[in-house]
Amino acid sequence: MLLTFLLLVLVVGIFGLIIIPSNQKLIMRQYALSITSLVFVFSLFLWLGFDQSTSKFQYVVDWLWLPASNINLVLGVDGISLFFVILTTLIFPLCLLASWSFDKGDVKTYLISFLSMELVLILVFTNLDLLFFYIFFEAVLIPMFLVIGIYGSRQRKIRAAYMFFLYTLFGSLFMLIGVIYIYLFSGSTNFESLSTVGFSFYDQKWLWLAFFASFAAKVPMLPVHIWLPEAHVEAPTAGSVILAGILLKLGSYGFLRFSLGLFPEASVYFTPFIFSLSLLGVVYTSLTAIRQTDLKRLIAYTSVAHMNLVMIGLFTGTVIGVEAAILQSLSHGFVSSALFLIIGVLYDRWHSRVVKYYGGLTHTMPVFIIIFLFFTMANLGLPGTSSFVGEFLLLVSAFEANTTACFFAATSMILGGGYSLWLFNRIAYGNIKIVGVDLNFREFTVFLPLVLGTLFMGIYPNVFFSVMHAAVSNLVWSDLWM
Amino acid sequence: MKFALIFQNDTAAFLPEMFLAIAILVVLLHGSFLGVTAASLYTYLTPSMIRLTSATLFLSLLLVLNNPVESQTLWNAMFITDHLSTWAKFIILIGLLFCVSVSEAYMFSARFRAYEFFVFILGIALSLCLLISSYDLLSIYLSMEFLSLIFYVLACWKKNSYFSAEAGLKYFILGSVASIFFLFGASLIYFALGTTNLGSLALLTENLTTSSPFIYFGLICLVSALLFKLGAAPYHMWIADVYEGAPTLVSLIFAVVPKVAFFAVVLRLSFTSFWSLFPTLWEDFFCVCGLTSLFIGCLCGLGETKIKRLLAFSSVGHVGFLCLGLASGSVEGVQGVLFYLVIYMLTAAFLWIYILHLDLTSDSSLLTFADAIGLVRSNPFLGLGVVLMIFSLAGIPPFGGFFAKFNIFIGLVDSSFYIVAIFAVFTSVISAFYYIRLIKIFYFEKNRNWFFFAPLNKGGSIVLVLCGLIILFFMLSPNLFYLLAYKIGLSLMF
Repeated sequence: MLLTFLLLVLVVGIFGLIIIPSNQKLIMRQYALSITSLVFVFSLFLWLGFDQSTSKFQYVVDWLWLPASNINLVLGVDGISLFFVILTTLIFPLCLLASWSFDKGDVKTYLISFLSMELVLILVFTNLDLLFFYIFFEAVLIPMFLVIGIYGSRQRKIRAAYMFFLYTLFGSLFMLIGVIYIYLFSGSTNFESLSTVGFSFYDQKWLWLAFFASFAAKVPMLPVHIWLPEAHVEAPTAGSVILAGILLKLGSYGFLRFSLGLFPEASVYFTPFIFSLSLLGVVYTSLTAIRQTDLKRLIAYTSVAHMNLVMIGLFTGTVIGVEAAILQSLSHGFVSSALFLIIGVLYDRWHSRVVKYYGGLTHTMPVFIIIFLFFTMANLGLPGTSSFVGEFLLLVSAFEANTTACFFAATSMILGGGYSLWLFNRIAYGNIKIVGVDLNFREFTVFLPLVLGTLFMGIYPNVFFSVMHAAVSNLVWSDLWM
Repeated sequence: MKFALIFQNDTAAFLPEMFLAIAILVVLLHGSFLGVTAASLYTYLTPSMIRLTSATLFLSLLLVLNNPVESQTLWNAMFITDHLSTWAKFIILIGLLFCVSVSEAYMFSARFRAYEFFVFILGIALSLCLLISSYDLLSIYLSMEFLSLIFYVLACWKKNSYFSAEAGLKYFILGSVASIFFLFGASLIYFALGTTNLGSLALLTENLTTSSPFIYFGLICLVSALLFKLGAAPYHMWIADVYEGAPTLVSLIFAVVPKVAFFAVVLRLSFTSFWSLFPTLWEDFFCVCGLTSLFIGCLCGLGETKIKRLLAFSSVGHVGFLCLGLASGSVEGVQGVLFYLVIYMLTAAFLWIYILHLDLTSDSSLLTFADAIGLVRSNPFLGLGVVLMIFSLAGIPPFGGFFAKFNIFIGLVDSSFYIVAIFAVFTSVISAFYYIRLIKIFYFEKNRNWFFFAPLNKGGSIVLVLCGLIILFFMLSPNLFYLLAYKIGLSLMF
């Protein structure tokens, strides 16, 4: 019931935005902000009423779609997806607040794209049906493509929009064939039924590869990661935040739910492959990040590095590893979003993302620099922040799985220090190259929940782990996996 | 044929066709008596013609739906009524209703001073209804020729345009060659089996043990001719030039209406009559045609800068998908094909009506990308609709086009055509590029010139809203389409 209500509020929001006249920009923005905040508050009720002792799906909603073909739309939340939903509903109001003064182009299309993205994302994370997961997984492409293409800042946005769209579409169509094969083989696309189906090892390998093609582009893993720096740089601030904060989690969520859940033997078989790609990704993109001259591109490369670290944790096959991967995803959702919002603050003032032009900001924007420092430290994994918890536990589980992998993954912390500290030093300290006005109240409100969330996850993560525990244990220790 | 039952079965089932035939004569007389002077032709005559034609099509639609005869062969087994014929006639009459409702604005703007156009529309309706109900190779040929003659005339209608004349001539010559091949194939089959009736052919080829080269070669000629009319590769050469050269309203009719009928005929041939030849002939034949069409559709579309030709090549690609659906040879395949046809018809109607609107608001009829820049500024709602429709055409969820492709893929994977499915995936991604390039042109590019709000004509907007609502909100209630397509597939095969 609660899930239906969440989605209904968003649909009402989109409809209301359509009927508000296009020139009433302030009213539209206030309306969109109130709708997304309302959705966030309702999603907290999901957590409030969540039963931590069971790994079964809760708040299940079942709508008949094609009863003759046994495909129905089933929505539900369990320990794994609960926090992704809350992350989604938290990031969207912050994005809308951050883009309050964004006036390039049509505000109505902007807000409608964002609200429909939120609708589709909540549907993706709560979906228990394979076909509908695929449908909404792909449907996210449409509003994001429009946001990047219409509201991007320079001509390269078109190239970025094409790359974003085509990389994801290419992999996803292979996943479609996999979904169809699963449906025809087992007669159902419902995830709960599918988790009892045993695929043969040969089938599992091919299906795993089909799903890999789709999720690897989203994570993004190494050969198909090029779209990410392009899309992040060319998108508007709020678009980058959504991309980094939520859309990247779709890949790791997909791996977790479907590759690990449905094809456990193939996952074990392909673990060395994933480890190699992820480690290459971590080291290579961290080193590339150090070389960047564009603020957003630097943070984009660090996003790739963090998500590849998450992939290592997912495929270790331990409860600690998977839980840490989920926590690291959530933490990355907070930290990366905050970093892009920080860059957005700078871009709003001076319309430039070149690192060379910024320096000595701490003298005139101290509050901003404090927040920037906090998130820089969170980016490199300072103890006390959520990202330390995630990275440390990921390294613990990687050590259990493969000590060489752990050694190379640990270099991520060192390289992380490299790019984060150097970037922060160049911008905050040094000669005063630029003077500016400090954060206003709206921008401060945008950062406050992110700071509090990062600290909360870093200081007392058990609140999060205890929710995930039942579902993750069920996944890792299911009879299929062993 | 039982003469005693001629009024009970044959005439009763043929009421739509008879009504259309009489209506053609009545409309022709109405036009020639009232259209005395050229000046009065389109002030008095066109609105009344449109209303007459719409009323005729609507009434024949009601006649089709209320067919008292169920699943019988008629007129000495030359024709048949079954679920496929009822349903396909319904779709075609709706498609023609769409075309007629759009034609008012086009007639006024392009100064089409010819009431015969509406007589031709009714002639198309009659010939397609006959084609769909045909159950004999000869009646298929006759209906096909009837249709083709009307199409040849319509294609070269614009007398002051070289492109139109070229289109008509190319279509005429190539179409005649195709019809010759049809006759040749039919004669070979008659030679091999001694009958041209599809029902008798089904009984005779049921347990075919020897592979007769006459049957194979005859069938290949026959179905090649039918695929030519559809625009499948390797018989696709005429499509780009004809779609571009013909007046846009006529291109709309070409793109939207005949595909259902020809696919109905191909379905009858491959699934009912020569079903036993499926593993040896049809699978390979339709796979090759389908893959070639996909290949041609995606590659040639990449190089096109003129919108009408782009849509022509995209239709080649879609016919490729439909051929692949036929290749799978199961009920799911037939279901996928029928379903895809409906979705494609609605999407094509939407996009071609938009092209018509562009044609009316721009100077030349040869629409390049430059004519479409900045659509979103001049008409935001229409722009959003067109963009979402293009996403549906590319096969992006959650719109109707995705479900159509999904069904075809189900048919393919069900028959274990994995490599074919992977190839279809590749071509889908490549063709997705030129679809999103269109969206880029509409939405992302800056318009250098002044733009004015260009309202859409009333008939067009009604059709666009209907098609748009069905395709965009398809996901909310797909049950009707799926079950109907499945029922028709079952009736065809068993």
